Amino acid sequence: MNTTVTTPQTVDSQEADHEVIARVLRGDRNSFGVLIRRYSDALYRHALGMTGSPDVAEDILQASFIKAYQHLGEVHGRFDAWIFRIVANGCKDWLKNIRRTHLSYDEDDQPSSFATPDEDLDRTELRSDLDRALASLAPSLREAFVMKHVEGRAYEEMAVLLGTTVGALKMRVHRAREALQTLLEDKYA
Amino acid sequence: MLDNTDPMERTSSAPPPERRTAPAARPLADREVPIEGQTAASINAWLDGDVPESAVRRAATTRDVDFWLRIEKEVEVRRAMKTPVHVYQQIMESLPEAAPRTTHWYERELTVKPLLAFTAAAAAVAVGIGIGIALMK
Repeated sequence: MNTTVTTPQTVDSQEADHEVIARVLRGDRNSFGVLIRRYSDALYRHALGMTGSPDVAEDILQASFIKAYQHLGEVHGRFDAWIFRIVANGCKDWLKNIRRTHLSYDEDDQPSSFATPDEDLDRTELRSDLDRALASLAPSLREAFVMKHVEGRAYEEMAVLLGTTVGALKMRVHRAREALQTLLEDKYA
Repeated sequence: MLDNTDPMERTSSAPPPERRTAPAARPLADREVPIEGQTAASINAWLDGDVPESAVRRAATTRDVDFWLRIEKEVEVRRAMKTPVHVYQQIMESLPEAAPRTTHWYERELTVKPLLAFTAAAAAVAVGIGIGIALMK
């Protein structure tokens, strides 16, 4: 099973990011919407995976893009890595400050890939259990697991975004898998 | 003659009772299921995309493979999730009216490591001393 998917970051789009940023800095406020559309889905999935709450994920996403807009003149390098760090820090701050009760997100808006009502019921239970198991992980392990499995990023991309090594990230993901398997295997293995 | 009823005393003719010893641990390869709580290296290699599923589908890891396939099915749904449509509009409406300010190079944050700061300070002191000595002459 290879969960790696192509990231939106290519050399061309990197250049395009700079062009868009230049337009925004010249006063074209609406051009910032291009950057929001380009990166919001991946960032939303990260925030949702880290917080487990769609409302919180939306708030973090909104606050992060506003902060990014205000400081857009300070971007030196990849915009996607820069905005990712803003969102990731927002998630970590939220995790530090909030002692959460169980949160499980509602995916009524999202299409279901399960064919039968029984499968939907099973999946609802698995979704809740997986949320609980993810919430019990240390933030660094949860972050690595979410980036690898939920966001489908390659280790190399994760290393760039988090400013660490591929080896360290592999260790975190492996430890997260081990913890999740320990927590869930009695019921689902 | 009295019978010896002391259970702790053995007669010399009776063989010593065999001590119960713990059975030797079976090698890992004999286990029917992997050690609980352990995600095998082969499973991690498969989940990392380094080896195909067929390579890890042995009897000893079938349970693990099935477990992770089930988790992956759930995760796939999450991977396909999109930002709710109203969020884009909310963000655009919340942006300040004023264009973001371009930061000049002299206004940017400067990060200096302690070692570099110490070296720079030492160099400045040395240059100051050098200038002072030159002026004294």
